[in-house]
Amino acid sequence: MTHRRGLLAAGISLVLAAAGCHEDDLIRPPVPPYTGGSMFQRYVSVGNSITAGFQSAGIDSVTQLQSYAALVASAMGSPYYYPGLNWPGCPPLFTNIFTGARVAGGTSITCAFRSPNIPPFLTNVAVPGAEVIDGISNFPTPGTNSNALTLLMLGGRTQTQAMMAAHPTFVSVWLGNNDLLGAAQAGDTTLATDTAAFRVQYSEVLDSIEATGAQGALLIAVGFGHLSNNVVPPHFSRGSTWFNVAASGAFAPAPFTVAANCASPGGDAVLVSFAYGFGLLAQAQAGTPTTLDCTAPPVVQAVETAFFARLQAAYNATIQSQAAARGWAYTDSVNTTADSLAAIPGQFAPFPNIGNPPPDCSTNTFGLAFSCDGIHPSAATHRLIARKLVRAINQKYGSAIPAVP
Amino acid sequence: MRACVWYALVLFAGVPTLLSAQGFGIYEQGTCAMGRAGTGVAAPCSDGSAMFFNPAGLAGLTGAHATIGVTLIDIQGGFTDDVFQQHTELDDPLIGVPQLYISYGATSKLGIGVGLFAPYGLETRWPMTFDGRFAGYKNYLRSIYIQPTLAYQLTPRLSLGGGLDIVLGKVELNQHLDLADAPVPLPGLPLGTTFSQFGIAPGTDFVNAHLEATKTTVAAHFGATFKATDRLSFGANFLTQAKFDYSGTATFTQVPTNLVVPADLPLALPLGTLTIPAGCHVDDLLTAPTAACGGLGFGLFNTVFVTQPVTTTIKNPAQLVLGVAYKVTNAWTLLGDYQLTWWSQFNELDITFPQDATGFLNRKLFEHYQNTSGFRFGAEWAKSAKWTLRGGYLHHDGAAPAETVTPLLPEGQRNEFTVGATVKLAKALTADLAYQFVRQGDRRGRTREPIFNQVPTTGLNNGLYTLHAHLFGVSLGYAF
Repeated sequence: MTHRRGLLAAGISLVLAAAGCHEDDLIRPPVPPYTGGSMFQRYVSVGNSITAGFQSAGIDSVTQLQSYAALVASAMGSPYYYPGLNWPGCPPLFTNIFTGARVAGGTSITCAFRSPNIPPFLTNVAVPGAEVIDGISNFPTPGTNSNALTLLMLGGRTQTQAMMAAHPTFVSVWLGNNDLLGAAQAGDTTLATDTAAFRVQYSEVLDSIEATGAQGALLIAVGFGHLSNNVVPPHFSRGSTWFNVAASGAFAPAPFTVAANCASPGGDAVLVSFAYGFGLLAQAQAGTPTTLDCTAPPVVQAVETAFFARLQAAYNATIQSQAAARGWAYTDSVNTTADSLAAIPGQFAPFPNIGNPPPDCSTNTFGLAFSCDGIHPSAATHRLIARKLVRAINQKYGSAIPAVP
Repeated sequence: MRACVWYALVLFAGVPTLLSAQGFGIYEQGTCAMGRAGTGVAAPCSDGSAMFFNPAGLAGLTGAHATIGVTLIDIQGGFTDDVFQQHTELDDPLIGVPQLYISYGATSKLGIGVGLFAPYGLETRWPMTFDGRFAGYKNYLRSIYIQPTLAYQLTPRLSLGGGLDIVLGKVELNQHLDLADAPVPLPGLPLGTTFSQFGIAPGTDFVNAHLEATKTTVAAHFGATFKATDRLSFGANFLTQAKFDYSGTATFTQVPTNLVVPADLPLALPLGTLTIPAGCHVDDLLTAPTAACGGLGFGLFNTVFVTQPVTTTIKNPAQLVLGVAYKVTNAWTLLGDYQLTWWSQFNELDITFPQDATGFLNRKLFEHYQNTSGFRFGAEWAKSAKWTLRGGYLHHDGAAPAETVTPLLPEGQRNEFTVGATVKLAKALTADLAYQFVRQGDRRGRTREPIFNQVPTTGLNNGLYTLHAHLFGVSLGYAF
């Protein structure tokens, strides 16, 4: 009788077990298989135009996929969901920065909107033009830099809102470049975000990451090259370079003059932005005589360059201390990579390749390391950046993310 | 007094039910039969529930009998999404499914009766944070069958029975609409341009839709029993399809998105460039023109999302049950049933808004259900004159194909186990108790309907539905 009862119980147990088993194989968790992979199940990148995939003063789905964020996500084995922008872009990329020609005859306000394939969340929440404050606030908050892409990419949300909606397991942050770039382009140090505001706003971004319960984060230092090492993007050319190019007759017959105060040695320490210098040249080519004066306000003076260098260092000290306090990774490797590239001939053009007639963007107008606006890295440089970031993550977290090919 | 009880029962029966048989079928229509896994088409219980399980079972009854009962259903289940691995629990309350059977042996061969039962229905409630709210967060489908029944013993071995069912149907759907999926009502944009292409994130609620409709229809019910020997009997039961051409009302209310256009947005349209200015509230943009939105306003809540008629057709499928009962001893009876339900009749749902000239609201839901087979096995032991004990097991397929497992009905194949008992409380009064455990196989499914009425595929499946349930049956029978 006891034996019978035992058999009956065993039989019932088997039936119940069969009926009640959980079909785990029906769940599809995309857990990367390498050491530490679960930390990278959902990677989200917060950042600036470089992060978003902006190149040649434009952005489309192709450049979005060339972003270091896409490459890092791919190496991680994390899904990469981005706010895909339809061809020819929003705006389309320059095909010739001197003539202003863009892909498919577009203009600076051409926008083909988002792809109808809408992902479940965004891996890349970066918006071109974003300063640190834009990580946490949008228009109408004073000081924000919301633009059409803020709506098209994030639907009017802030970067941190979009990041939190993704329930990230790992976040990278590259914010701060625009906090000094806009001021540098205007040659006005007062337009830069002061360090106290930077600290507060940056902390708020990081607090929002902590609130998601993300397992880790990588904070990327501000800049693309150390200003203290005199490394600046080729969007800026030295006054002395302008002087020498003008002296070679390259701008003739346009009534364009470069003032003597741009000559060496004084002109070696001032920076002329592409927009300002070529703006004057364009006026001259249109028939209005113009002169590039290296003491003019838009020209970045040596003392201002020094200010921006100190500001970059101060921003990065803040970021580094925040990373240490939160136990997150910090890397300055993008700047050191840019420093190295700047020393390699052909990577950073000291002066745009102007040619005659002005060549199109296929001639690497600003050097191999940059796209056709002299600020945003080329696809090849994004790959270098991604390699450095993966290395920094593995070093901090002991993970084994495969190298970016 | 009787009228009041009847009215109360009808009201009570209005409480919807959920998920305890194939598709949206509910087979627990009698506590006695529930205890033996619903078997009994060849030997129905004597509590009058034969009106549901096999109308022929009324023939040969003596005297009058009334049974009132309820099946309480406690559903546990949820959905785990693939992307975030987040689990959302169903929000269903404890649900009661009532039954009432009154039968009378008019002669030794003629039995008559009237029954009230609810063999089809569903209720699914999900929390408002669940992505499935865009398919339906509170959904009811109710069918109350009121069935006058007649049965006659043609020969000592063969009995036939039948009934006419007056079926009271009600359907209710509550869902949110996602602004990301909504087409932008601006002339000149490519056809099918949605707000998501302007960056509106998926999951941006902007409308609450409430659809409610009722319909009364008729169906028919037939049954036969054949006693091959004193110990062996066979039975067959057929319930016809009930078709509801529902007509009701749809009401819509705006759900604030609280989104603000963060920067001037120039739109190059064939009629010229239009700029939606920074600071324009998206909620205003969807309603009336405002200065803040540059004089632009889509007026959706004056044109499209207004209270209006809605129609749809839903079919409760036909079902056939064949069964056998064998009396092993005077005390022991073994039973087995096979059930075929024509769920393929539940194929497509057209939800039509006749007054919506834009056609935006019309929905076509592709269900593509498949016919299902159910196998039931039961045993009954008349332990004493006072106690009868029962047990059973049943298995059935899922009706929903892999591409239509949705928040409205995340259904699948099930294994179920039952136990039950009858106790004679007094000479004329009996009580029945039963318990049933339902374990549904985990199933991949989706949370959204495809946009623009496209045919769904399994590519839309985005997670796993799990479900199990505890059912408790209790009834009282009185012979008079």
